[in-house]
Amino acid sequence: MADELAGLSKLQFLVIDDFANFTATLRDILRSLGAVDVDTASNGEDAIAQMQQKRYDVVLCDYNLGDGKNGNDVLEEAKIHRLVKSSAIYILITAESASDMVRGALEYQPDDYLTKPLTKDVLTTRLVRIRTRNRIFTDVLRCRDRGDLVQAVKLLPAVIKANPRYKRYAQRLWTEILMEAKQYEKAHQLYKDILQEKPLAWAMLGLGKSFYYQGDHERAKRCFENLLEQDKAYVQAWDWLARCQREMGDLEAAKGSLVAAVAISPINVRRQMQLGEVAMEAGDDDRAERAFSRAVKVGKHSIFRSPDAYLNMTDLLVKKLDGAEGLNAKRLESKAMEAMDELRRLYRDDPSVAAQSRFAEHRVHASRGREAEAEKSLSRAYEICKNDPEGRVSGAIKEQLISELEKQGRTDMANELVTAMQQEDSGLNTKAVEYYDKGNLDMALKVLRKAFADKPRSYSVCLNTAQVAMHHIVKNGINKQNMQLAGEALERAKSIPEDDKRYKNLLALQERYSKLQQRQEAAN
Amino acid sequence: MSRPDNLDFSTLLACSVHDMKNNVGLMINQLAQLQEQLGERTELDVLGMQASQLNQSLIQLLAVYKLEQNLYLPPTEEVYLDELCEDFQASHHAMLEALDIELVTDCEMDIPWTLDEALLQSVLATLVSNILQLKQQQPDTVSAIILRTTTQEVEGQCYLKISIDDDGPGFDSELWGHFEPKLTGVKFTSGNSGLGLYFSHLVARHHQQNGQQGFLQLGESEALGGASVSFYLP
Repeated sequence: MADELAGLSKLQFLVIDDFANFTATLRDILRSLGAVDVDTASNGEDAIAQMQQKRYDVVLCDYNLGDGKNGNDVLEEAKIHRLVKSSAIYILITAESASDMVRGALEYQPDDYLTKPLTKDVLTTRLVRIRTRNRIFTDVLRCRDRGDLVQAVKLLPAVIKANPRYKRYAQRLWTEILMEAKQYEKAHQLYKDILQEKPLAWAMLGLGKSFYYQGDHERAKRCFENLLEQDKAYVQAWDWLARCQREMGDLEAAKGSLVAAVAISPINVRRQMQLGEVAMEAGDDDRAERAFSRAVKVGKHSIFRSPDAYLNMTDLLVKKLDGAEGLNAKRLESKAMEAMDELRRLYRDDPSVAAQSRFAEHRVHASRGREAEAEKSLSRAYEICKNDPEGRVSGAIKEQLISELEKQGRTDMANELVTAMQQEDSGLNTKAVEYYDKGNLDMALKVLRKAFADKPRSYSVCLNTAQVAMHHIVKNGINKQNMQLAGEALERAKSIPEDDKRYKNLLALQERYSKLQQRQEAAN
Repeated sequence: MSRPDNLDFSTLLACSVHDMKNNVGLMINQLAQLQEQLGERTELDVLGMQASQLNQSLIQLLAVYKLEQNLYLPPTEEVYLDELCEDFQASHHAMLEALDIELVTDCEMDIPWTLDEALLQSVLATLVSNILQLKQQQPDTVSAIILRTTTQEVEGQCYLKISIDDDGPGFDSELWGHFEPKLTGVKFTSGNSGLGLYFSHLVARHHQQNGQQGFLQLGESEALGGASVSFYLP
């Protein structure tokens, strides 16, 4: 026992609890066990920030953290964003008995649960126990952290054989690694084997997920429904059920599942985002707006925060604003404007966010009949899009802006924007050139298809797309799809002015295209 | 905790108990800190013990409420029996030692069993707490406790038997045997042990496996001569 405690002085601890009193007690206990480096955090947001700064070896987190995230949310963020190593120890502490936290069913498992009040003896026993286990799995965990998942899986059978006591833990680890490696068929088989031994909730959830990733949404759905029959409060099962229902096109059912999930656990950005999206697709604007508002509210300090929550919410507010009057209209308006202000503050250097938020502002002003302000916002969006040589604002956003400018009778601005877009480059284009230079035609073409879909006006994207598509044909024979792509790209590029240095290039590609066309016709 | 839609009085009570428990939890922490500052043994020890007994009673009340309302999921977790004993020892040995009660654990190694450990530890803690209370009132009653886990065959089926024995005054012999609250007519309103046994009974019954249900058995301790409470879990 002393052996397992000996190394404690070298470990970095983080204690998270909203009661300073408790963190202090726990820190004292840890120090009395020989720990030296013990940090504390009083809420989930601070804890995540600290984990981004420092790689902790042991995290002791209270489940109930006041109004913000709970201990499981913190665990989820930490695991998904790899803020802690696989070998790090994560312990959830609760004032209730652990059964209240759907023990054993959480998607991301802590290493242990402890109940308050916590004594030194209990903490010692558990720490020693987990460290003993982790020592046995050191090599596996190391491989996993290095990303060498194949090797990690290879090591496991021998470890299990030598340590039958840790079979369950090893099985769980094994499935996690297989899922991480996207080896869904193997994971599937393992989940089935485990379930045959014992109907464990986490294995059933995993089986459903493996079906889902293999595209069998029907079977996946049945797994999640099965779990929910036993436990209506199993929130992850609701989440996954909703994903299946959405894939299968049953938006109303997906919405219902997410409403159930949100009722159980509302402080989760991704869940609220999903609900917002599904409700929007299902045409339930009220529900969608509420969900996006919640996503904005709970996501302020989350890694999962996304501009889409702000933008979607504002779109829905603007929709409501048409036809709203008096105080209600005022309230909707100020909510939208505040959201856009906050969004710009949070994403200062993002031209895409800036353009979209100005455009949204324009719609707010326009629907309130304030023409001058509406025009001002529109031209701000326009300025950002026009001065975007690297193409960081997506083509779709710019096209929206162009049609709005045309609607407002500002064809001059619309044309200027088109000209700017024709001159802009795209990150995908650069990437495609890299593939092309390395002789990887297939990948170059794949990336260019994406680039062309996003920026069909960009001359450099069009020319490259046409060139690579035709090169592909010359090398691999006529292919209707590629011919069509080259044709479309050249059609888009034909407005290149004669004084542009790429004009010659255009002519050469056009010539090559017509030759290929003749060849194709001859072949037919 | 989850709150059913219709707030009847027992739910209301459960919610209040829940809040009270949080308060007591804070109290215990503060007491522990004070104790640390003052050093060695003081009057605070007694206060701390009282507080944790209060805490235990509240936990018990809540758990009984939830068991009756069927709010716990069936157990699926596999627990190694030696770890169960180790946890038990870690939770209670300091307190027992302070009151001069010897604790012996006797566990089979390397056997995993499907059970709700949190619930089980909580019910064992209640039983220990009852013993401690008795000891405080009558210092010369109890001096030793044994926690023992074995596997045992009952009517052709294998059960896990977890028993906790002491050398105290023991149960009335009419209570011996298979514990059924209705048949034996224990008055839950009077005294601590009544509720403690009822809680134990509910926890034992909560454990079900392939159509078999757990049960509680009371008797006289063979080793120590006092009370023996045994949980039989399928």
